[in-house]
Amino acid sequence: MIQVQNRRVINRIAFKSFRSSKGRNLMAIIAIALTTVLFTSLFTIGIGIIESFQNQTIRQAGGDGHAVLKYITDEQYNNMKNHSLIDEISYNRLIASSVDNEEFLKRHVEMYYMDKTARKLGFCEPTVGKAPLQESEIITDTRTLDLLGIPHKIGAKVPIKYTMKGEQYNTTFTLSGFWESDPVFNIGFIIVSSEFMDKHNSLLKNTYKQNGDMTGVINSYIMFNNGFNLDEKLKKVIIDSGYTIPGDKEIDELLPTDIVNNVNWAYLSNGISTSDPITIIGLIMMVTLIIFTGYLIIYNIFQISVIKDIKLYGLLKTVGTTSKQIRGIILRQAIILSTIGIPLGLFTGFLLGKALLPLIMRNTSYDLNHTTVSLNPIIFIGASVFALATVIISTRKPGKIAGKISPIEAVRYSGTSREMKKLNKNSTDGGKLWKMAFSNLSRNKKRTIISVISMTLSLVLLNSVFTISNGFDMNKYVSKAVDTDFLIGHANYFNTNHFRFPEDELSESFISSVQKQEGFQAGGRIYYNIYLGECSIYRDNPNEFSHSGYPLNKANDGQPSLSLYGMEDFNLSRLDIVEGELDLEKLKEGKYIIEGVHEDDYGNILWDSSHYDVGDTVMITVDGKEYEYEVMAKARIKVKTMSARFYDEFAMYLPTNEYLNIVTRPVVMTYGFNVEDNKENDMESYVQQYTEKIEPLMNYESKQTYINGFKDFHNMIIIVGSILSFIIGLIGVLNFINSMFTSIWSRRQEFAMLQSIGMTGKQLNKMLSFEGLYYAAYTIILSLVLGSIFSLSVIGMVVNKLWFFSYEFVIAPLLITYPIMIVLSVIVPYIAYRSIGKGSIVERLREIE
Amino acid sequence: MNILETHNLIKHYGNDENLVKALDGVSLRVDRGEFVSVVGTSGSGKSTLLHILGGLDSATEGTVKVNGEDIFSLKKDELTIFRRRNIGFVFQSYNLVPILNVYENITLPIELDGNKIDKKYINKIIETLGLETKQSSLPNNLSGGQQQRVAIARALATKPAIILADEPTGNLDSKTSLDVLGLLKVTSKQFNQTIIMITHNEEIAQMADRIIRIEDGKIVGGEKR
Repeated sequence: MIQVQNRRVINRIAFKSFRSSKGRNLMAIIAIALTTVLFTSLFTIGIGIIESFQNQTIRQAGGDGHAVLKYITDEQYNNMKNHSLIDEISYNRLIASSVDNEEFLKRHVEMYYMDKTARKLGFCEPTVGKAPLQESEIITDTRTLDLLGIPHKIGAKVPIKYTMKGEQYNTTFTLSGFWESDPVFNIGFIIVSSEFMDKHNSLLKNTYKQNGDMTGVINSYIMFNNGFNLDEKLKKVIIDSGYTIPGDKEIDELLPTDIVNNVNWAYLSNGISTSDPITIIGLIMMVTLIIFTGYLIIYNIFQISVIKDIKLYGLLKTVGTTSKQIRGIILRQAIILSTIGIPLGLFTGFLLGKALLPLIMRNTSYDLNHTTVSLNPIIFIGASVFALATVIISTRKPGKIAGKISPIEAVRYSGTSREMKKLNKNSTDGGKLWKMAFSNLSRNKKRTIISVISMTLSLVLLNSVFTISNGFDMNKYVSKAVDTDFLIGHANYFNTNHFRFPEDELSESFISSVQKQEGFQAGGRIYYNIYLGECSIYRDNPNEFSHSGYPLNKANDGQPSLSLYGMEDFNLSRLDIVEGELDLEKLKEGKYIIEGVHEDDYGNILWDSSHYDVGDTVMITVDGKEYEYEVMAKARIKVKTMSARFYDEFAMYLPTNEYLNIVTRPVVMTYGFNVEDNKENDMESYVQQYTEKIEPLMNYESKQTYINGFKDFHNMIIIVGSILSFIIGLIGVLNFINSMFTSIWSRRQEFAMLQSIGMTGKQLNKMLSFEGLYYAAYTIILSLVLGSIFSLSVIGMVVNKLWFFSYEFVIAPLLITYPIMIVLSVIVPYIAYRSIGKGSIVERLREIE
Repeated sequence: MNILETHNLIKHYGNDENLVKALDGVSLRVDRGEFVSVVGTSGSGKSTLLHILGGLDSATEGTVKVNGEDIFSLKKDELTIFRRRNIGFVFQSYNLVPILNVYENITLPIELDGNKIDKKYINKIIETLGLETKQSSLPNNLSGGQQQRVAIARALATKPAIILADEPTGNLDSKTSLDVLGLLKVTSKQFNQTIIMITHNEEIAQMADRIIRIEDGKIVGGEKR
């Protein structure tokens, strides 16, 4: 092949012919921008959710860092810190194995030396004052200071009781700085100076592997260059430095070379890979829908513009331009248009996505105050790539057509006559306006079909959005909610962390505050055995499977673990007894127990989850002691109110008196209470401000929060769905406008001829309006058919599986949209005709010759 | 009786130095049933004359009376209606509607007028023009000569006062040209139609009853002979 320097001439032709079609350019830019808006908002929302999730997990974990090396020594730290994969590495040295001030019983505090990187990654940079320098200086967080009752002041004296190598010390430090505590993170830090660390070096020898003592161990948090393949990178760092991976070894089995390590779980869930299949399918469907929508319009625009310019391409061919070069000209035009359209779309899409993000996040269990989305390059690169791909896919076919045309054909090619494959037509009244209009529609079937599909798409989507939102059944949803007016507990009980540690206990101060409120009627505590390993139920076959076929959770003694709840009368009397009879007085004698049975999403009792008959004897082990009870009755486990909200096959309910007798460390899990009807709002605002200001670690749920949550979710579906339908609808209408304008433009000579043989302007307008109406009619029929099919199949059968969904066939959104569409379908041709009807008939006729 | 009468028609395009005098005082009379051809070089103003006669274009000055009606006094849509009832056009490029078959193309002006179709008359035209077997064909299935015959049939369909033909044989080979012209002449005689035809082909022009020569917007010859 001969290489010729033709790039410049191709560029010039592309640019010149580009400049000459301003109308098409505007349309194409709008179309590309809208497509990009869709992609960008999708990416913004997606990345926003991931980032907010990461941000929250990182905060809960108390520190950033892709991975951590645990319990290492100075020597190990120095050997690994310079590895090329590592971007940043922190030095966190545990100074004391425990901090023993009584004030910290409920909120654990740890004493560290941290270097600058460690403070940054651990969110421990002092916001007031500065890092400690002197041996006697420390920094800490505000909540720790509050617990000690020390004012937030530099120079304040802070007495700390702490244990190093098994020996307790009392030291009064001086505060050199502090930072605001994050309510999500429930551990406090006291950070000493390097001076302090150096002075106590002898005590800080790492003996973790010998005796498990944590004093002096170093934990190093690592940031790699990026968040991919963290596990592999981490292992490589360890192995390259001459150490080994411990695997699943217990502490006493660790080799001297073993480096305990793990990847930060916040970063493990950073991709779709770990998401559930429904999200992935949903995402793929969204992307496909957007590509398809974009394709429909961009393809149509370029198809039309190629037909318009076909004579130019024919001419170029006669002078020796190759097919490849012609395809290049079209691609280049598409890319020029993209360089304008895509940035516009990126900008608008990001703003739109950012505005929608909180709306979507509100329906997740994440902390709303910290929804963030950064100017993550992935958003812009991803959206641009997808948008550009859509443009390239869409312009391929038109490019091929232009490239293939022979110079002679080009002169005659009109795009319309090519479509007229019919040779004969058996009718005698085709001259009637409405019939002519109908025939005109089939002149360029492809264009007609694309416009119709493009408009139908948004209508089907709109109808689906409303069908889905209409089907959300508030009664079903709220029936699962708290069955008392209010339920209060530790924030972790309500969020994804779950109620797992004694620190997650509901505070008595919160209970007594609500009890003192006006309108308070009655309430009751539910206690829970936090350490599932300490509480088991004796089974003849401990290895049996759960009613749903999974292996059972095991307690330390090898028997299945038991969720044992202690309930006050208020709750006991609210149990939903499904078999047997509840006798409160008898129950309190201490010989009886109530078995919890599970229900499915629809409230049906899963009898397979019941393992005893009423009257059977149950043997349970609590904190090493065995007890026997007789099953008095069976009660439904109401997940949201009468359980710890995570799944355990065996759940039993005991009255408080007996529960407190046998459980050594009872923990108050929740307190449910009712309020006089007219005081509900007062109580709502009271507990709301209480949980925000006074005890931020506590949280609550009320019937109202459930109703609000439901409404939020409902609104989100409608708003997000409507915006999506609107944009796709806009693209559909654009497509229709473009088709109509082009169709009329390409027939302007024919119209002149029709007028010369006696068609009045009125008749012409009427005919064009008929054409528009046929578009509308096709769209109406297609959207009715597809909308109904989609509604009955996908929504009726798939979405209907959601437990709070009551399917109902909805068609009203379509019926409401139709008049708008009909009006549009009459107006657009009218305006389009006006735009070409200006020249006199003779001028337009002349163009033919 | 004069079916067509013009008085001092003037048509100017542009202004000042760019002023083009397309027609410069054309007065013309045509009798009913007459077949007149207008010849002239390109740019002589013959097409402009035809367009003005048909009411497709307006004159700068002067009057055109068709069947006694001053067509410039009509409003736009009135003129269109007048045109479809009184004037039949035949163009060089046939200008058939591609979505309509031969029969529908021929009857289109009648349909547009909302009148009942005189089937007997239409069939006679079709027969005369030899289009019987092609009635349900779409234009893309016809040869050039056939398409022009359909255009002639369409021009005759409304029994107009005059037929204006603009180079009707310009796209046809010489044999087909003579065939089509012959048919045009025969049918016009048969249906007593008046024809004004523009051409630059002397041979074709010779088939007319009268030849009007036009140069630089002025009639230079061809008064009634």
